[in-house]
This record gives sequence, structure tokens and C-alpha cells, in this order.
Amino acid sequence: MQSENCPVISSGLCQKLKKVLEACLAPLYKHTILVLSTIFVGGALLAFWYLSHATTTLVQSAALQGITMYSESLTELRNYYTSEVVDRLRSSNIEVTHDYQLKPGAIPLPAIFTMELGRRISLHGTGMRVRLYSNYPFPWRKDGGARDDFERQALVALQADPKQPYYRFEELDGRASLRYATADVMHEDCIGCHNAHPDSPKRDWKVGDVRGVLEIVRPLDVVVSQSRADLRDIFILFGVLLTLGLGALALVITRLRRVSVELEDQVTRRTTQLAAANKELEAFSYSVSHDLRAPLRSIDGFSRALLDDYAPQLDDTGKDYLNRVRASTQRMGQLIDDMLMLSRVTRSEMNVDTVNLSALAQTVVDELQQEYPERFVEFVCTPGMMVRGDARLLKIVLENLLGNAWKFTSKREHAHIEFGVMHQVGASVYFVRDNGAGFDMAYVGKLFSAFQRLHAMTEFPGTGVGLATVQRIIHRHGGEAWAEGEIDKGATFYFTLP
Amino acid sequence: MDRKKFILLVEDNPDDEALTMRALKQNHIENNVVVARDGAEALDYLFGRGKYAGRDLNEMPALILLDLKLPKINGLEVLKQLRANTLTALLPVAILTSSSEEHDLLTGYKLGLNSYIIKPVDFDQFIDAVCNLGKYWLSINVTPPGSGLLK
Repeated sequence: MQSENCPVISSGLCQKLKKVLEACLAPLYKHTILVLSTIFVGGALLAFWYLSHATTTLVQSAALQGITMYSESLTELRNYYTSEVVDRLRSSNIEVTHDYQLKPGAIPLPAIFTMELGRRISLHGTGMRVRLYSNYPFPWRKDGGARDDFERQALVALQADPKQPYYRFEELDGRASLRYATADVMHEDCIGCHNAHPDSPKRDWKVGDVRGVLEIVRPLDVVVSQSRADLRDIFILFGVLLTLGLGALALVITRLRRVSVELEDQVTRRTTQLAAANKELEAFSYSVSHDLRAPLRSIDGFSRALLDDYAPQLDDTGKDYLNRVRASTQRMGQLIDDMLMLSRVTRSEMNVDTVNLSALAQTVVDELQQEYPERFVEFVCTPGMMVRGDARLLKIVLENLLGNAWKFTSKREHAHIEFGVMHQVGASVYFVRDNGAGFDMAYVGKLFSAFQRLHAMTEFPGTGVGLATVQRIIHRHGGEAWAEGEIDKGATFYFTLP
Repeated sequence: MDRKKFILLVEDNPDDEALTMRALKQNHIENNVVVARDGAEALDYLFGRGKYAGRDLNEMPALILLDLKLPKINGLEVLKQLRANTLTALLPVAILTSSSEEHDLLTGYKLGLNSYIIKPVDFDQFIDAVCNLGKYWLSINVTPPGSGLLK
């Protein structure tokens, strides 16, 4: 069977691989609970890592989306203020200045407007901050230039690509924050003022130049700690569920193991009982074989001695009686032998191998021909019938079936015996067919029972054990045996071998 | 050199003994048979112990016919002890029994058995078997030097 599973690789290599695999799997089977726990805990850790990663991503993308909208609102508001408020009021001689609070009737510069708006928003306690800075700050702003690495990098990055916002998630003043910087681009509305203002540090601004950076800082520590707390709750819940699940699993496995140990014990007990019974049976058949035959031999031996030594004193009837005694003892000897064979067939160990049934049948027929050289029997046999089974037991099957066919065709002028196979769905049916005495199908049920005979001893000799033996052997191989026949037309015996 | 080959028959059943003797007689070898009635007696005879103490141990049978089922010491045990002793290790031993147990056959041959004969129930066949036995072991077969000779 091994080689069938691995048609390409040699069966030796296949078996080696199988052994290695089994050796690897054996400890896993042994420590099922440990292995399952490891897998579950590993899976849980992986899930937790993924969940934590996904939460961080979610928090960051939500923060980014919020801050983008916020930044756009501020920019839009400033543009609106510049174009719709400042420009209109400038023509009505209202002063637009950075120190508008000190001058009555003055309004703030757009940049101051933005900064003031940011300052007011930051008062709400969200920690949100807005800052404007530039490489060219107005002199009244003391911290109008870049103060840290982020601000320097933002100025460089936004000067290179004003349309792409520059942001970083980083620690700021001890709080995890999102810092989001957009370019403050010169519009037409701004240029006139910036290039004309007496304090302006640069007077050659063009439309589209990056004037500076608008940075919004949004602290994330509250959200992060909230999401961490949620994650921790989920993890605890997960852990509890996992522990409960593993506990239940361990319970089930332990229970199963106990059941299997009980079953094993039971099997061991039964096997021991069976072995004891078998041994007893063996002792019994040994004693039958030895002790029952010894007196038979005496009866036969001394009957012969009587016939030899006391022939003159015995009349023909006396001699006939003694001959009957001898015939009976010999028949009883035969019965004992057959009985022993029947019991051995059931007990003996099976050595399963590939068996050539055709060759085996030919051997049996050759032996029969040698034993009965006067018989002429036409024997037809399908060549190359290969099966898997015990060669010794299968030979007994063929000896009985072909022996029967031989025996029951003894009164035929043209005796014909055929041994062949019919391939049917799921099984090959082997058959031994003869044109001999046949039998009445009414008694087919008795055919395979031990010591049942359908013919008189005077007609055909026999003990009635042969077919019972055949059936036992076929059953031991997992097959079936049955027969068909008709009186004076012959009989066919079928058997299957899986 | 007036020496005759002889057989040691180890048999506990008197019927079987009588029948074997009868069969031997019909084959004209009945004068050359020593009978032991159990395994212990057979060993005593072969090793010159017990009631056979002082026996000339140069006289060894040309063939030992050994039954399997024997009182005291069974046939296979007798065989084992014979093979273990240099004095008897080479003696030809044939088991003559009614049992055709595969196990006995295998054990017998493993222990160094020379022949295994199943006593047929049919006395005619039995006579044939004994005839063949006698002819083969006493006439045809050559025994190892120093054994199987009776003065």
C-alpha cells in the first residue's frame, strides 16, 4: 500500500519521510494542550499588535483630517479678511497695523488677525496652538523666525513645494502632538502692502512666493491615552476569553485522554482475556490432536493385529466387522485432522503478501493429478490473477475448492474445471466452476456450515469441513464467499478478496 | 566386530509401545530395541544414571525414537538435554508423535532434531512409516563415529 501512495518516490524513501514526519509530530500529539496554548497566545499577541497598530493609524489619520480642515478654515478666513475687509477699509483711511490695540480705530494686519484668532482658540483648553513664522519676520515680532528643527524643516520643505503640507507626529513640550505646517503664499491682495510697508524686511515679493509658514499644533496625548485604555480593556477581555477557552479545551482534551486511557485499558484487558482464551484453545486442540488420536491408533492397530494374527479363528463376518472398526477409526482420524485445520485457520497469524492465485491453482491441480493419475480433467485457468493475502491460507482455499470440483466431477466422462475472475464495480469476484454433481440451491445455506454434507459418504467421501474452512479464510481476508449450483449441472463457488 | 545397531524407543503409552514393537517386528528389527517409559528414564539410560548407573556408555543407540508427550520430562526437553551434552550431542533423534503442531515442529528442528514423524491413525501406514524409518536409520544412514553401536 505504501508504494501506491508514493508512485514516483521509491517506497523506502517514502517510508523514511513518513517516519521523520511522525517523529516530528509525535511530541505535538503528546503535548496537545501546550501546543494549542502556544498557538492561541501567539495568535492573541499578533492580533493585539495588529489592533494597536491599526488604532495608532486611525488616531493619526483622524487627527490629520481634522487639522487639515482647521488649517484650511484659518487660511480661508485670513484670505477673506485680507481681500474683503482690509482692502475695503484701507480706502476709508482706517489704519491696518500690528499694534491696532493701542491705536483707536485701527484694525489688525491679516497675519496679526490669524495669530490673535489662534491665541483665542488655544484658550479653550484643547491645547491647540497656531503659529506663524517666516524667514523674513517683521521687526516687531520677536519670535517670528524658526525656533526648532521642525520649523526650520517646514520652511525648507514648503519653500520647495508650497502645495504639499508638511507635518510630523512628535513630542512637543512633553505631549504627543501632530504638528501641521502649510505655506503662507503671497496673493495679489497682499503684495502691494508687503512691498510698500515701511517695516517690511523684504520688498520684492511676487505672487506665489512663500511668505512664511502657518503651523497648527494639535496635542494627541488625550486621544492616544484614551485609545490605549480602550485597547487595554479589549486585551483584558480577550485574555479572559482566551483563558476560559483554553481552560475548556484543556478540560475536553483531558477528559478525552482519560476516556482513551480507559479504552486502552479495556482493550489490554480484553486482549489478555482473548490471549488466555486462545492459549486455552491451543492447549485444547493440542490435546485433541495428541490424546484423541492415540486411542484411535490403538483401536486400528490392534484390529489389524487381530486380522493378521487371528485370521484363522475369524469368519468372514468377524473380519468384516473388524474392517468396519478400522474404517471408522480412520474416518474419525480424518475428522479430527479436519477439525484441527478449521481451528488453526482461525487462529494462525496472517502473513499478507502479493499472491499469484493462478500459479497457486495450477500447483494444486498438479498435486491432484499426481494423486489421481487415472483421472482426466480439463482445467482452464485465467493467467496472472494477483491478489494480496496469506499464501498459505489461500492455498487451503484453492485446495478445498479445486479438490471439491475434482471430487464432484469424478463421475463425469468429460470433467471440466474452470478458475477465473470477473471484474465488477468495487471488487474482483473469483470463481471455481465445475460440471460435476452440483447441488440443490434449496440447501445452499447449509453449504458453508461445518460438518454439513449434501452427499452420501458412499457417493462422495468427505467430512464437511472444507467449505467452512474456505469461508473462514475468506472472511479473515475481509472477503465474501458464496455458491451457485444445480443438481447434475455443476456448481460455481465465488469469493472476493478486498 | 560383533556389533549391532540398536534403537532407543522413548514411549509412555503401552499400546503405542506394543504397536511400535509390532511394526518393528514386522520389519525384523524388534531385537535391537531398548525401551524407556518416560523422559527421565531415557536420560538416565543415555547418561548412565539411576537404575542404569554403571552402564557402558560406549554403547549408544543408532537412533532415538522420542515421543513428545511424556511424563516427568517431555520429549523436547529430553532433546534439549541430549544436544547440550557432548556425549549425546550427535545422536540421531527422530520424534515420533501424534501431534502435528507447527510450534513443536519448529522448536524440535531448532533444537537439532533429525526427523519428525507423525504417527498415522491408519496402522498400515504406521507399519510403512516404521519400515522406512528402520531401513533408513539402521541401514542407509551413517552415524557419527563413537555412537550407535552395541557390542
